[in-house]
Amino acid sequence: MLERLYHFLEVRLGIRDILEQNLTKYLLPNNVNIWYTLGAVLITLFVTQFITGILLLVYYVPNPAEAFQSVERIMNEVPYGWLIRYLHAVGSNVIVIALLLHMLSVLFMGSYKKPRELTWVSGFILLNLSFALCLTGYLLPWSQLSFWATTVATDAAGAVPVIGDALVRFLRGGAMVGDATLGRFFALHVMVLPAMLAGLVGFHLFCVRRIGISRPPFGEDYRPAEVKGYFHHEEHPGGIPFFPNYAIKDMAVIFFFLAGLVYLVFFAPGLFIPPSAFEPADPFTTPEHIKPEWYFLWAYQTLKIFPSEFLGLAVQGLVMTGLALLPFIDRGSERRPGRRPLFIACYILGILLFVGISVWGHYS
Amino acid sequence: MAMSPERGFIGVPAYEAVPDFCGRCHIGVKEDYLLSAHGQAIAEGGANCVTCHGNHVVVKAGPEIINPEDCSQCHGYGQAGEIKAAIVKTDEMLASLAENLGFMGKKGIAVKSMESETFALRNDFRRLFHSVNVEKISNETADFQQRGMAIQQKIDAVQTELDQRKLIGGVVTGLLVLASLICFLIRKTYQQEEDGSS
Ligand code: HEM
Repeated sequence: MLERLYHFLEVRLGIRDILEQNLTKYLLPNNVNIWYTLGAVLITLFVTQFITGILLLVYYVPNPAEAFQSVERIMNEVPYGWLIRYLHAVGSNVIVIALLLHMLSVLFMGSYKKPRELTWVSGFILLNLSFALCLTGYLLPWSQLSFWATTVATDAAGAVPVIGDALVRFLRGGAMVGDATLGRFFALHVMVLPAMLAGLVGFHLFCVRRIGISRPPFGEDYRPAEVKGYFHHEEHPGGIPFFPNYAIKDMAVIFFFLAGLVYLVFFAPGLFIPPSAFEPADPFTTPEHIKPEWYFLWAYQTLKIFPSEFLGLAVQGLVMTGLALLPFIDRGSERRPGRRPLFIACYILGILLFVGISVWGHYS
Repeated sequence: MAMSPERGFIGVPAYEAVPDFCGRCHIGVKEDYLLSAHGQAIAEGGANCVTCHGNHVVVKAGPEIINPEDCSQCHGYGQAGEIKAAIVKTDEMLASLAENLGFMGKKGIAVKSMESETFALRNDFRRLFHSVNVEKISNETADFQQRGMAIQQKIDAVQTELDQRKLIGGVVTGLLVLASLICFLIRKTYQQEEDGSS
């Protein structure tokens, strides 16, 4: 039966050829390393988010009067609701970790360089879409944490000159975080952003596959690939087949990340979900230590370091724009870290700064 | 100014009027107090609310209030210990119930109904010891103990489930790590093949 179905499709679509071209005959550079598995890890984690998100949607009620209760029901009454919710909430943090690692590895190996600028730019937009998903999702449970974190985050937009106040009102749909904010964040979180993300992941993968995966810039016989003035798919003759040779490594790291996710869900969900997440939102009581999530701490703290919030915002904008356009700024063809001392110095400094400012933000 | 009658300042209540004053809010406690030996003897200088709880620096109700130093102003030195012994165990149990529930609430367990049950129980119990009647307290303590135990059992059931979850979580984590290791091992065999052929 299955064989006949296969035959039917084979005759009409030539699936054997597609599979061969993308699996067994798809050759990766023979020195491909473990960092190249992170893309596959991210795909798996995002699929998990989609599934758990849809399940949460079954019981979640997007209105301030009922949102908190509906989440409390999911956590306490719906069978395995707690598991689904924790997988989704903790999963978002694991995704950010994987995203940062993926980006850092791509930076270290210089694989954002010509001809992979579009891969980089689409990836960078994906990073920001993910942040937007985190921010909008945070409000949905309508807890003290949700309410005040969103109040603080949207408040930052007020530092933009001239249109600042209008911008804050636009983001919130009113003067304060309220019904309208929940409505728009909900629409963004479950429809607009996921749709954009899915489309852009498709484009990102298309870019990766179309131009060919980059050869890691390590080993004695590595030479920077010659970049031509016309389209050229980078082949890796004598490389290792994607399937099964590399796919099994993808699987190994995917299982490793899932193990980490499950461990956090069962043993340390409190690491990402503080007690104030279990108190209903109360616009009249500001909690004492309201802090954004760990991956926004750097932004939160930069706003405080500079003499004016506008200056902080401007610096953030500059850094993000610089990163987005990096392949157009850093144009040399050299990718070996040992031969790019200036870049690597900035790279390490950047990581230290990110960690340092975040820790400062955490304790300030 | 603050003490002007036009602004609602009613002055210091007379000694015997204190229970009425406090009882405007603490209604149940007032009832029990008035029936107690303390309340019955108020005309002869029996303890009123502020004798034990203080006036401006209100002392939070708790077993610490009952102590030989304060009570021996009127009673024999041993009596405070007697009545305290009758309530302390149950009071501590109710306090620890409240604490456990607070702890669970911070982990996202819905504890609100159990919390209000405990709160009501504790209130009832404290009403009881306003009767300052050792015999009555001893007789009714068993009932309070039992009601407290019922709540404790609910807490234990939740805790058992949480522990079970951890067990399952541990097993699943272990299996995933194992799967990861097996994949790495398979990868290793491919690697040897690749190294051999190149
Ligand atoms: C939704 C998030 C993302 C997904 C699902 C994703 C997926 C992938 C996959 C499957 C690959 C190929 C295998 C690999 O190198 O890992 C890849 C490569 C790449 N990604 Fe991403 N990625 C994401 C986000 C990002 C981000 C945030 C960046 C950088 C800002 C980025 C930049 C790149 C680049 C430059 C490559 C090419 C690597 C090369 O050819 O050597 N990606 N991505």
